[in-house]
Amino acid sequence: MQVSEEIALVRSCQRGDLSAFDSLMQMYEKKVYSLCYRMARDPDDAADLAQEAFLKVYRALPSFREQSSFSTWLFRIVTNTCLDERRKRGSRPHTVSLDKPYETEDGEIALTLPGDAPDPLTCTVQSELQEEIRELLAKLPAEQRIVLAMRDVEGYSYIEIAESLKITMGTVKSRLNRARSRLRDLYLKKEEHFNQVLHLKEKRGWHHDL
Amino acid sequence: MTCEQARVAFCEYLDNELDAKELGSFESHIDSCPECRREVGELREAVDWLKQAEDVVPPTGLRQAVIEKIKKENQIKTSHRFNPVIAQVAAAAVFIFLVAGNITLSLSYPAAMPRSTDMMSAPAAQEQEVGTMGLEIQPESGPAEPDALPPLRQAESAEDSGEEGMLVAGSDDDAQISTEERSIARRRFNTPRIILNAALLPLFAVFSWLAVRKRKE
Repeated sequence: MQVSEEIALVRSCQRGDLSAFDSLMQMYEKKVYSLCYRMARDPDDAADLAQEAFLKVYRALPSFREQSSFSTWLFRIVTNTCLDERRKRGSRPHTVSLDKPYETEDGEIALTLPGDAPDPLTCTVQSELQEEIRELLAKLPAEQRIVLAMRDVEGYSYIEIAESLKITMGTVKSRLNRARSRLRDLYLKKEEHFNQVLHLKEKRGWHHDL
Repeated sequence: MTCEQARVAFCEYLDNELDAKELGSFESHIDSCPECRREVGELREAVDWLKQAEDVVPPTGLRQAVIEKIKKENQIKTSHRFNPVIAQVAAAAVFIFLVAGNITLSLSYPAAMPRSTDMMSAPAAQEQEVGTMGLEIQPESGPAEPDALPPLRQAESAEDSGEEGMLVAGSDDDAQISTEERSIARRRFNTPRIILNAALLPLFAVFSWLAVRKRKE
């Protein structure tokens, strides 16, 4: 979409046009939700975070003066929401419920995650890996986790990260270095543990179980 | 390049962000330093593993849920917008009750006219009432004061002279009874008036404050 079209939508939103805001959300919901997902404990939590971020964006729209690009401004709010929520909630354990509908005054909206898995086995292996990634990311402090999520998972550029988090390029690099170093430690520990189990099982002749 | 400098450049090396010159000196350091070479290898392995994270798709009801929440917020805002009008009407109503109540109460107990000292401290609205009351009493009173006096002073002196006339006409016992009656009447007069003012004045203040505050917003 053209930048001028986006600005037109933003101005409509500022005049209170909700359908324009819906269109804006549609443009950004995938990126916003993805980032929230990396910072969240589970899909429910991610949906809550994304909703909270969009609500904050809507409330802050009157103060958007077009001094920066809309996307930069939006991601500043989204990253702030993610970091604030993480600080607030801490690492409280949370149960997963994918089939719990979202409740509104007018009724319930089902939150469905479209799955495009080809066959069950690939799906299981794949989801195990995804779960491992999520668990490992959850062990990082929020500030490191967000740079790692933005750079290595979502593929943002250094400049985008710097602008969203309002930090310098130097800080982005040092934070990314620290985050990757921590990731490497956790990853190696996990691999070591896995190899130990493998080794143990082989020694006892349980390899057929694998 | 030292190991320290190389470590700072790790992230840029892995992201292909080093320029040709930086890349040259980084790679020559890596070639000569097994420690850094191992570290870069591990980092790359971990980052590549992390990059296997799947794309996620937002839940279908996400945008709708946000729109619902905004609508709900707007509804609350709209209902608040009526408040200044309600507060203004309420403040006006309380004010009318206050004035009407005070007038009615002072008309109900004409015998309990406050003395001149009370009148001095009474609010302007009451003074005016007392003034008119005094004028009603005037014809009953004894010899009139000179016309040059302002109406309020006339009222005072009319009352005083009325009392004097009563004292002169009646016996000592009558005077005693009339003083008692007057003090009872004054008490009966004061109590409802105090209650009325104590109840309505703060209410009036609250509504006025609400009306002004809401208008400022």
